Amino acid sequence: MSFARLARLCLKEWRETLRDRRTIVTLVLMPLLVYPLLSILLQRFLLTSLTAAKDPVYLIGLQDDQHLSLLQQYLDVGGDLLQEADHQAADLSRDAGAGLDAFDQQARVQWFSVLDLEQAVRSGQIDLGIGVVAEDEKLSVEGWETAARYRLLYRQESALSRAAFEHVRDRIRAVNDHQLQQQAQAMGVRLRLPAAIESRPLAGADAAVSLTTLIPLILILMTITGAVYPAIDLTAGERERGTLETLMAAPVPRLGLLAAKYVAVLTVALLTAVANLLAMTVTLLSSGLSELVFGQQGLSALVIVQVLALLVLFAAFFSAILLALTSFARSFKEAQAYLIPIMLLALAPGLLSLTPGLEFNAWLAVTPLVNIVLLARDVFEGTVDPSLAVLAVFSTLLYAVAAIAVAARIFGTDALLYGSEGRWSDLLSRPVHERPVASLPAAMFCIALLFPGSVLVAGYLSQQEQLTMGHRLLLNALATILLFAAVPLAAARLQRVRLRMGFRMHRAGWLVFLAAGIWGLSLWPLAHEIFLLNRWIGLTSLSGEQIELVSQMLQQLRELSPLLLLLALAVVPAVCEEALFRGYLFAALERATSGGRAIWVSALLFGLFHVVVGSPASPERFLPSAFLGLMLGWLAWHSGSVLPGMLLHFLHNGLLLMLAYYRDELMERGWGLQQQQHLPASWLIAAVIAVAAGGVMLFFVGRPKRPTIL
Amino acid sequence: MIQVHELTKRFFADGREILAVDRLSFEIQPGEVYGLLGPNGAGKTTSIRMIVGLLRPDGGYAEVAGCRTVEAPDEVKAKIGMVSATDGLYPWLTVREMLMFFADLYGVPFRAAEAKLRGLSELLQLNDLLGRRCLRLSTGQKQRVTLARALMHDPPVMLLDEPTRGLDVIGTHVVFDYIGHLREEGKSVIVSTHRLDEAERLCDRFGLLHQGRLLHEGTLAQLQETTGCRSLIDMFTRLLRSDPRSTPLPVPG
Repeated sequence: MSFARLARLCLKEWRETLRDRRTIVTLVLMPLLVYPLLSILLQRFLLTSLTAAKDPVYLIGLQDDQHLSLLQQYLDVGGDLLQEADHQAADLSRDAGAGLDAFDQQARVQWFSVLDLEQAVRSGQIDLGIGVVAEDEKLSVEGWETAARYRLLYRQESALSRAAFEHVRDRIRAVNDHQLQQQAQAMGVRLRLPAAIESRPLAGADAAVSLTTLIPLILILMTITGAVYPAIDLTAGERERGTLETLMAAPVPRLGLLAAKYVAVLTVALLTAVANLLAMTVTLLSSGLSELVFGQQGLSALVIVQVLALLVLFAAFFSAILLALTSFARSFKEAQAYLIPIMLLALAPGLLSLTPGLEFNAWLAVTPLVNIVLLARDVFEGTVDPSLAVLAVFSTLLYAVAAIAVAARIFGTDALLYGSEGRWSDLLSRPVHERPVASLPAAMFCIALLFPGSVLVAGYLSQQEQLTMGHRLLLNALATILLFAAVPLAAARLQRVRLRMGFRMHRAGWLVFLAAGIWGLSLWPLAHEIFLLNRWIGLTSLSGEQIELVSQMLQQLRELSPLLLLLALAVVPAVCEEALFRGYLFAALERATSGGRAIWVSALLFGLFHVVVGSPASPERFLPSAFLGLMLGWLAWHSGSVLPGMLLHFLHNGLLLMLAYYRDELMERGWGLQQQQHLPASWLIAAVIAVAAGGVMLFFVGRPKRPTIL
Repeated sequence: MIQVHELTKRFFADGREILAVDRLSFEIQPGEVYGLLGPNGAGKTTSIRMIVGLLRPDGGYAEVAGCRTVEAPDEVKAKIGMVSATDGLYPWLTVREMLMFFADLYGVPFRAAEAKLRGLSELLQLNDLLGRRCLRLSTGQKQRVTLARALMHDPPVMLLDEPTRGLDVIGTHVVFDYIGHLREEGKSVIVSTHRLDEAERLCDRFGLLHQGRLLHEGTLAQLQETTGCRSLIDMFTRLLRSDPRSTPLPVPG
């Protein structure tokens, strides 16, 4: 299907979705009315709590009005004395934390005349009750001579009540202390205290962080809100309206229809998210709360761009999940029933991000949804690990592809079109007739399954310290065979794909193999120079420690048999990776799109795989791997077979392995290579000539008119 | 143009197997209108869905213009115009947008689609409706749009499943004219209906389905001769009173 046709399909879905009033309600009214209202409520809440801290108002009840003026005087004088002491402390230590005490200085007191103090305090009518102790009682207790004795009543469980109590107590104490000092001075006595206390309140370092961890949760809610309705309407709604049968009767690939629907759902999700983001930005900026949420840097343009990028990623993922789920539904009601648990489930990772100290690692980076939320958290905290970010983004996109593949498998099937007349088991049943190559959704689903599988296997093996290098290599080879060959093979069997056609196991002429052999031996210098390009463009993630680890690993490899190395790291990857990328996947891509696109897409995926399927993930591997993928893809397309590529891949890997294996010997003979240095120009010229010679040979051999099945 | 051979479909409902279509076989030539007749639940709609490739047959095959539905579903779909009893329209698209969308689905170039749209608008009196959104159309207007939609890619084969369901006299008359137009255009047409009086006026040949089996096939004259009944209604009444499984009537030709 051409892009122009896909665009026209999208146009129809956009029209159908964006003209629907219910979509507009979700898209426009939600953020314009509900979200700002919620924001205002949140803002009010935050403002209220801040105001309470910054500028509290204490409601104080007094039993005897005659003491009002005296108490007011004590509090004023006491307040001045405390402020004076506070300034002296600030002079000693100019710390921002010292200023926090000033909050209480600005407290306002509202006085009330209350008869039943206890009841008024208990019921919360007042924060503090001040009773006057009887004249005879006051003299008999401590023997001090006082003008008045007050009893302060407050609620222990109320922060405001306690603060009011402390407010009054501290001021009266200050007045008393001051009075005592003056009397002592007048008597010429120097007072001696057993111990003095100095306190300094400080602001917590994670004050802003705690709020930024809430942002991923808001993102989830924002995206879901927008995407839910169109996802249901374009799938289950289509069936309910009776348009699905007509649509399925048209000669259009299901994947094309689904892709257009996906674009429409994604568009609405993004528009909703942008509208919400706009509302959030305006609210934060207008209320001055941006610093509180985003820390001292506030809500900068960079933060907005980062939020937007995460929204795009999240929307891409969640729209696909929604579409897959709603594709199962036969009606609106059924779709809603499916979505409610998923929406609740989606909140769980959001809550997970609130777990303090949760480390974002490779395992969590390939865990759906959790990876986006934790990546969002790290972005806001400025602690993003680029390798994990690449892993999370790539895996998320692959999961989205897998979800669309699932949706394409079930959308418009008998079971959905005709309800009870079809069976759900039909979805898993093998087709009656053989098919020449795998469908694109099936191939992409395979890739999406393999990807986290490979990451998990690599992660698991790297943690098994008790394994010897030999065992590790064999297990790795076994995993490669299982993931890259056995899984696609099983998928092909399930789909009744003709194995020779589906994996492009066609015969090729000896000249093609010769050309592939030449390329296999001559491409590595070019790949090496492309690897060095990373440094030029600033793409280096390997630390000195990691490079040292790689050197140690190479040293351990040298202790093993070269045949074992060739088997595990050259033969197995060459056969299995080619079977998947230039066989199963390439055939599906070529049939669904074109040869050119099959080359580019398979090379891109090949490059990305080599980035993430490593421990640690290394973006440096993308360019050389994608370059090799392009050459292998072109060879596969030109020869119509996967077999010459297997030879090329084997020779390329094998030669590099042997160069590393015999590095010391080669160094002794003056043929040594340094991993981080350019190759001699003569080597590069020779490589270019060899590659060109292989290309010329392939050009003269030409493309086979029809693939010959072995 | 259409060849149906031993087409069979089983469904499972409430834990038991139902034979919805039982070894159905017939052929239709270009310019012929074939009435697939039967009471509700006879298997008419299931047969049509198998012919267009929406349902996978459990046995036999359907071939349209030399292509089998299971082997080349897209080629078959491209050659068929389908008017289903459950046809819906996209409520938020205008009539023009919807018809052009379906033309595009079938790969009709834009200019050719516009020309086709003009012709069909004249034929089905859609000119005043083209700019109107589908949700604002009446039942009769919706049916006219549905008929136009099925012809936008000018298919050689038309499958009409209960095309007059829910229509008034005027709406039914429009459908009759439409089928007459299809015959003139040389298209092979299958009309599935349980309105036997209508079928008598519309179709060249008939297939009488009952409980998934084709019990009678032929022209009206052939059926009258075989059954001894004057009208299709009489034939069906007689069929339903007898036990069709034990005493199948001979199928001519």
